[in-house]
Amino acid sequence: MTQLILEHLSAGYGGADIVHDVSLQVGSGEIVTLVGPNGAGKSTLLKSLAGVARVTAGSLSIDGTDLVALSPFERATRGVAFMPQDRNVFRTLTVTENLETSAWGHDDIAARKDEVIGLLPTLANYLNKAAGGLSGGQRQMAALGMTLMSRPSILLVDEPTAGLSPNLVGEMLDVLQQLTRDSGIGILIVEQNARAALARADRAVVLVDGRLRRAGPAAELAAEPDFGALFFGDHA
Amino acid sequence: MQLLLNAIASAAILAPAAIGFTLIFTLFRYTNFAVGALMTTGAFAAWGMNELGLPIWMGGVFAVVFGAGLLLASDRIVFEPLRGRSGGTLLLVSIALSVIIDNVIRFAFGTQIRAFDLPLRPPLTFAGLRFTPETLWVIGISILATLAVGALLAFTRLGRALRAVADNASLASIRGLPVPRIEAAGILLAGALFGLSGTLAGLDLAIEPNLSLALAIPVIAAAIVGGLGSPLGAALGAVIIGLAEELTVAFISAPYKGAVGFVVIALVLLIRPQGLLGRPVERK
Repeated sequence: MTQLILEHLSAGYGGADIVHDVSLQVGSGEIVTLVGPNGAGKSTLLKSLAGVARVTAGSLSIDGTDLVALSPFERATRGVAFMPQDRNVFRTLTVTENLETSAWGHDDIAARKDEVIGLLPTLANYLNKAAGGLSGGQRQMAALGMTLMSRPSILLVDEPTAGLSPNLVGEMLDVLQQLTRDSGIGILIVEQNARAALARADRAVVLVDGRLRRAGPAAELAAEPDFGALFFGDHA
Repeated sequence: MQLLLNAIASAAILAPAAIGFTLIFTLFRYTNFAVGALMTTGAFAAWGMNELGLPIWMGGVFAVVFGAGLLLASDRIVFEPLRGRSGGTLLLVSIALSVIIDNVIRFAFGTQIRAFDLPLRPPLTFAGLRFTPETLWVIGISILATLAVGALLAFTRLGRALRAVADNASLASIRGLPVPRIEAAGILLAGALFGLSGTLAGLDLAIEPNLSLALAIPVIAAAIVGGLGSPLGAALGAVIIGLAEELTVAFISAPYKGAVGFVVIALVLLIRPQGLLGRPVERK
C-alpha cells in the first residue's frame, strides 16, 4: 500500500514560505480533501508536493523514498501525478496526442490509452480534437486522463471543477471517487466546492493561513458547527 | 515561370533555416538573430570538406552535424545561463553572437569569396526554363528536409514531445517528460537545419562572411510571415519571401532585394501579426 507522507513541511516561492509545518498522509484508495479559504496555501501545498513550488523545511516521501530533492519529472516517474487547475493540457496537441505524450518513456502507450479511456469513457468522443478547442468539462477530463497515463499511485488534483457547470462538478468528483475504488489510487484534492468534495472524501484537512488547522474523517469535519467559519476563514 | 522557379530556388535555401528558427522561437521564445551566421558557418563547413577533396554531399552531411553541434554549444555557453531573461535581451545577445561568429569566420578563412568545386557546365533548359542541376538539387533536398521535419513533428514520439514542450514546458515536466533532453533534441534539429540551409546557400551563392546578414533577414522574415511557431508556415513564408525578392529584382532593382525582408516583416506586423498560419503565443 502506497503512502505519501508529509512531516512538518513548509513550502513557498522565492524566499517566502506560504505553507508552514504541515504534516499529513495520503494512502492508496482514499480521497483526502484539502479545504480552506482563498489564499490559505492549498494550491501551493499541492505544487510543493509535485515539485513546482519549493519545499523549504520538513520531509516528503512516497513509500520511504525522499522526494524533496527530486524534480517534477522525477516525482512523476515515482508515481506522484499532479493535475494543475489551469493550463493543464497541451493546447496545440489533439487529445490523443496529449494522452500519448503523457506516457513518455513507456512502451505500452496504446494499452495505457485504452485503460484510461476505459476509466474515462467520455474521452472517446473527442480524441482527435485539438485540446485548445475543448469545452471546460472536456478539458478537465482530458487533463485527468493525462495524469492517469503514468499509472500514478498518488494523484494531486487542484480544483478540478473550476469553471465547470454545476452538473459537471458532481460528475467530475464522482469520476475521482470511482478512480480510488477501481484503481486504488490515493487522491489529495483541493476543491472550492467543499461540501461536494467532502461528501466523497474519506478524510479532510483544513488549511488556514498556510497552517493545518483541523484534520479528521471528512463526514465528521463537515458536520462540525464551525466548519463554515473555518472554510471561509473566520477562525478567530 | 522563370521568375517562379527562381523564387522557389530562393525559398528552398531559406525554408529549412526558417523552420529551425521557428523551432527555437517556440521552444524558448526568443529571436535568434545568429541564424544567418550559423548558416554561413554551415556553408564554410561544407566548403572546407569540399576543399579537402570530399564530395559536396559529404560536406553537406558534415555541415549538418557541425551546425547541430555548434548551435547546441552556443546554447549551453551563451543562452542557457540567460534562460528566463526577456526576449529583447536574448535578441541582443544573439546579435552579439552573430558578430562574434562572423569575425571568427573572417579570422579563419579571410574575406575572400569562396565557392564549391563544381564542374563548369551550361544551364539546362526545359519548357523554356533555364536552371542548373544544382538548382534542382537545392529544391529537391529542401523539399525532402521540410517534409521530413513535418513528419517528425506530426507523427513521432519526439515530435509530439517537442510540440508539447513548446506549448507548455512546465506542464511537460509535471507530466514526466524529460524537458532538458527534449529541448536539446530541438536545438540539435534546428542547428542541423541551419547547417543544411548554409550548404544549400553555398550551392547558389558566393560563400563569404558577409553572407550572414543577407541570409538572416529573409529567414527571419519567412518565419514571421508564415507565423512563428508553425513549421509549415515557415516553409510557406520562405516561398513568399523568395517570390517577393525575385519580383523586386525583376521589376525594381537588384540592390533593393536586401530590403524585401524588412518591408515584408513590417507589412505582416501591421496587417496580421500572428503571420499566415501562426497563432498568438504566450510569453514564457
